[in-house]
Amino acid sequence: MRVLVVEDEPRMAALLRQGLEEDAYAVDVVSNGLEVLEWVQSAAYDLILLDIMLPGMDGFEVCQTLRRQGYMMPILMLTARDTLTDKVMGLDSGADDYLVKPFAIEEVTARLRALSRRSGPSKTPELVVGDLRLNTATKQASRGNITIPLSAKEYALLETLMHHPHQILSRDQIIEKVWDMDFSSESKLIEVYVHALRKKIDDGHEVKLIQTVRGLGYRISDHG
Amino acid sequence: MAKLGRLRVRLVLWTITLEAILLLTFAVTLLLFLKNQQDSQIEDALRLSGAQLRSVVETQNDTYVVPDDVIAQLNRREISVWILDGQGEVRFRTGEARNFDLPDDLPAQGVFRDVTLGGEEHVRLYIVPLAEADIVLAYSVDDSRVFLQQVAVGFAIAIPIMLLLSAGGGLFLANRALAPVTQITETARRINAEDLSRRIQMNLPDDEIGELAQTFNAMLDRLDRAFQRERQLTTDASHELRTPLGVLKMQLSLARSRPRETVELMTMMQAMEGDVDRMTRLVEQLLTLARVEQPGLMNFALCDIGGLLHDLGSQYQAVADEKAIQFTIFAEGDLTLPCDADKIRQAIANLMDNAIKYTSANGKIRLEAVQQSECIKITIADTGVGIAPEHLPHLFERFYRADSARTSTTGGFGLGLPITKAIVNAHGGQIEVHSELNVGTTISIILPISIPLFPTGLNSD
Repeated sequence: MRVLVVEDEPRMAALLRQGLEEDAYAVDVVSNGLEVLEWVQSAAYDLILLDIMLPGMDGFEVCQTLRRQGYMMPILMLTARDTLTDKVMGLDSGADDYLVKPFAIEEVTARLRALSRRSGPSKTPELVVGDLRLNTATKQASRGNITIPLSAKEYALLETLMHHPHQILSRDQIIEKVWDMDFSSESKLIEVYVHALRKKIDDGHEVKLIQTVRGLGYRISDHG
Repeated sequence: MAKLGRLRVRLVLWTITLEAILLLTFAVTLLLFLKNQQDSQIEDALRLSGAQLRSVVETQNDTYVVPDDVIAQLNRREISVWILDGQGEVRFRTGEARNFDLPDDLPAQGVFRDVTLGGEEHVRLYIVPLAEADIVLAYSVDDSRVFLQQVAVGFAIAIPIMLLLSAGGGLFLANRALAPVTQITETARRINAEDLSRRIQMNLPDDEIGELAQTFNAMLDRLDRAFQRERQLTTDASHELRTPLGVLKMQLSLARSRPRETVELMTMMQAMEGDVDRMTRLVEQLLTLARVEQPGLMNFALCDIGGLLHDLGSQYQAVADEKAIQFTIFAEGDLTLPCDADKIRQAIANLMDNAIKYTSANGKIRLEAVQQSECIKITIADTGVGIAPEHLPHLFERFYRADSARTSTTGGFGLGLPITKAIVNAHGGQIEVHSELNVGTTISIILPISIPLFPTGLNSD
């Protein structure tokens, strides 16, 4: 899951980044409303966290512009003022949900999960492929009755694959969802993580779920 | 409206009552004057005719002869004459006397008396002696009475009409004069703390009510500005408090969201403590500002500004040395004046903090106090970065920060200078600022030596 955090207060932005990265999101932070419009072109963001009070262009306007330009990713508005007008204006400008400051990190991540479910394959926090289950709330994977411990990046990789079961995802598509802007697409890190994930999920099982499609990318599927 | 109505009616009633008293006095005086005049005319005619008759009447045996031309004169004057002999027998009549007999009780000689002859003719009698006989003269008072009655009736009709007219006119004028008052009342009724933008329309004449409206509007302007400032302060203060609160909440939730190393937790808690400290400082400054904006809370006492400056300077010397800033203090002569020493000290300290903050190594700061004619001038001059001209007008606005790039974590709140200004205002003083970018800033506090009777802390904008 790739999230764009738009927040001009630097400490708040840093804390959001930390919290979301710890929750296995790939996070990019921008502080200016105008910059958002450039950033969304360079990566396919799954979610946007949008503060209202921003330099350059305020959150309402950013939201409207994104929707006009055809971007459909869920947008969670962050507002400092708990007034009805702000909420109504936020939702009317195209946001999917709003959160009034101050808020706890769990509330942010829970709302992001809820928002991503709307476009995902499952209406519950659980993603399922064959006998592999991934709980997006607890970040826990299990195959059969065995719980599989995952690191944040391993989880992010598995979640990305399981969001599109039986579909081939290219290296670039995966990188875009799992790593932020600082990550180089030339890196061999993706192979390292796929290898580690395979070991944890497929070792000792007859059906190999994580499949490499030569020249195209990776896929998760329980049929050959 | 009811109250205004009462004022209108009261005005009119007062006017009419006064007018009625004046008119009645005038009418009575005039009637009395006319009556006197009529009486003296009648009595003069009677006296004159009496004297004339005495000289012309001739007595022949028992008959009295009056010359014809005198009779003609008497008739013209409408004077009736009876001549009575010694026994009281009427021996001569002329005019109306031929139709009427005299009453039995005649007045004494030389006295006027009004009597009714034959039950219909009202006359005034006058008797002059003639040898043994009496000459009785009579003059009708009916004409005079009718005239006076007519005048009285005229007044009786005219006075109420005049009073009614002036009541109507008075009500009309009172309505016209008080119409702007109604407008002022209506405007005032619609004004509340949420909407102070309404004003009385100023097409009013340049009279007392126009002046009232102007004063009222000016008061609304001041209130509006004060309310806007308060609202802005609340908005700014809540924003300033919300930001660190939001960060604090975020840090707390992050800290407990997963198991963490002690070192990591310590780092997070340190950051949180920093936020709490910052919020504490903000709340303290807000409280200070609220306190110094109430001039009544100042503790005035005689204070030596020179001593205060040297005392304060010794605190800043170390900081200046650390930054390699050349710091000098100059204070000479009698610098005693009544003031709240703690507050003045804080006002100067705020300026000193800025001077130190914006002056780089090898710069200079000079803190001095001099006595001028009726005041003491305290000046803080630095060779720091200076203030851009566009920021100068806003320097003393609350939460205004000249360098917006400064992050909220390291910078001040933009309350130091407003606090200084409020303190100086409460002392009836003034602040002067001269600044040039990259050259330096000179700020002077000018305090009057006499205690201000009405500190200007609240009405300064």
